[in-house]
Amino acid sequence: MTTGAPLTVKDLRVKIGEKEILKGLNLEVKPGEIHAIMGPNGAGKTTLGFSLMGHPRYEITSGSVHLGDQDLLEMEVSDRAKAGLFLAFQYPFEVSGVTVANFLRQAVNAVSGEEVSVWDFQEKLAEKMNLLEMDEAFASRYLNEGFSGGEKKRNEMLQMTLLEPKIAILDETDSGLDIDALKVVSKAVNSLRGPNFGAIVITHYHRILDHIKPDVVHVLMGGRIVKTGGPELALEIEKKGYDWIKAELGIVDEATEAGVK
Amino acid sequence: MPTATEPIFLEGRRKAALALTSTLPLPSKLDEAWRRTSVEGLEVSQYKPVPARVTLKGSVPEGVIFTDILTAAANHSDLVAQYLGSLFRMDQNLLTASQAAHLNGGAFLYVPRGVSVTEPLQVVYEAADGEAQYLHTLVVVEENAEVTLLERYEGTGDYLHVGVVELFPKQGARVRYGYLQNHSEDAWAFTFRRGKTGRDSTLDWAGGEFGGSLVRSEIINEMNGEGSESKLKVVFGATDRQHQDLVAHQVHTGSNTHSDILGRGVLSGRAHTVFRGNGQIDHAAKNASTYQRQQALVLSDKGARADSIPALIINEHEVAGAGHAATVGQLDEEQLFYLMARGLSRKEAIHMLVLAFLGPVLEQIPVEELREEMTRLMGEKVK
Repeated sequence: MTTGAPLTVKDLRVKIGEKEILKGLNLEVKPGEIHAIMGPNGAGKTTLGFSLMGHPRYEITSGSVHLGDQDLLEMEVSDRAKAGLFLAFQYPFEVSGVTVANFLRQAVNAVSGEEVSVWDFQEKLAEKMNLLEMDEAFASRYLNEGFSGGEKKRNEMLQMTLLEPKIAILDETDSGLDIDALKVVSKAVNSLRGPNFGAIVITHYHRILDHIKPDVVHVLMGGRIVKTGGPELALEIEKKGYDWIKAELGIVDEATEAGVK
Repeated sequence: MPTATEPIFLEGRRKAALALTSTLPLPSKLDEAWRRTSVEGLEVSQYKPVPARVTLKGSVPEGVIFTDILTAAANHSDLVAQYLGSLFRMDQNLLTASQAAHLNGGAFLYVPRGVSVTEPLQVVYEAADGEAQYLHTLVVVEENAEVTLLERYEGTGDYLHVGVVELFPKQGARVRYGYLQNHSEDAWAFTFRRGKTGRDSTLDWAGGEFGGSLVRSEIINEMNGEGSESKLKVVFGATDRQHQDLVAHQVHTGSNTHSDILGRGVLSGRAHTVFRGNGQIDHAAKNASTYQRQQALVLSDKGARADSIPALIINEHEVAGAGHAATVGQLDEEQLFYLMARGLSRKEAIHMLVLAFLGPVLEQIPVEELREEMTRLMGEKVK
């Protein structure tokens, strides 16, 4: 297990094309902490995950992102993964012709920086698959090809538990999952939970937070973190939605501002 | 390169071919079959036909003849005379005439009736700067015999390769022929492969095209014997400014014959590939089937170009089946991002996607050694 490192995001501004999505986002996740980020559609939740991971479509116009003392924005996508950042994709891509096992082994080798022996890898893979209640045959299927929504998410969690990141971002991993699958996802996160692991759980629903108890809950709205609180904030949002926060903070929807409904 | 003991038939053939070299031109782009490949700049006389370096590998059971073509012409002249050039005309152009006139290497493989050669046999050719390599390979496999032959081409510098391969699987024979074209990236390479299937025979072709500066590589297979079957697979990788013009034809002249063609390749840099697949069913070849699929993956946006030209020519009403499909695609940036987000460098991710793309063809390559070499060479290409 690697030693943890804090993720520090300062005044992050991100554009897609001409449209600014994140407008000065600040966030600090310390090792050992689980942060939940909630927010209405279009708030910039997915943009946050992709920007931190380094997707080329997201243009960072200002701000900084550090993992420990490493400047993530200066690093290639693969180097960010090697530094200990992990993004669980909301919609993982299908790669025909590459088996799950082959892919995972190459990923583990790349991130650990050493050739893990086939034997050690198989053992570890079996252990994690067992933890996530996955059938052995899963490993020999092509990556995400023909997987159900739940299988794709389990596969993301399998990757996470094998790569043991310092900071994991779960981009709506809970969306569309039944309760059993949700429990598996939670189990994966909780198995890594400890002083060297931090996570950002991006979600629409309180439900997953019953299983992964967050230390901090943020509300992301209009490209900024507008409110931060404890677990009780998530419950409140579940009950009352976001309008009360808008009212409290005097936020006017952009769409309304521009005269578009 | 005539040998001291050259038989009269070969001497005569060389003489006739030599006369043709003074009259025949190089292939021209005006010729439809060469429309996408220009040999402009090729000076045939600039390359010297020194004896070709040919290494034969593998042991054969008694009765099987496996030797270089010139030795075979001397020691088994009747056999060689019977088959040499019977599927391929030397009077097509300056290249084909030069090949016949200056023949300086190649292989001869004869498998008698009922004999199974279990171990794959191999021939390796090496060429060096300034040389002209004029090769001829003859494979005659008698009734119910079985053999696997792999040919491999290597070289360094600027040289000229013109090769002819003729395969004759007789009734019930099973022949697997594979080749690995890894010529120097400064070489001109022209290879003309022909086959003619006997009744109920199977003839499987598997080729890998990786090297060469300008490559023209043909496989034209006549599905002649009733009930014969043929699978043809070509994997190609072209980088930088390589030009590869690949031809794969299955020509059905016999009834109940079944063929397919599978071509799959990867391009990068400013490479240009042409893949011409042709399934042809002639009149009176009843209940034949021919299928083909060709796919190219383009890795660069610097102007690499893949021409996929599939064709079906059916001149018979009673057809068991026919079809073709061709696609040219690009690497999916989202897939790449996904792999890179798991720690793979861009190159590692591309390598993984390329092998995944070729996988379905590679896993059908019938000889393990060939499959592994193709995988390795393709890996080097995308490094």
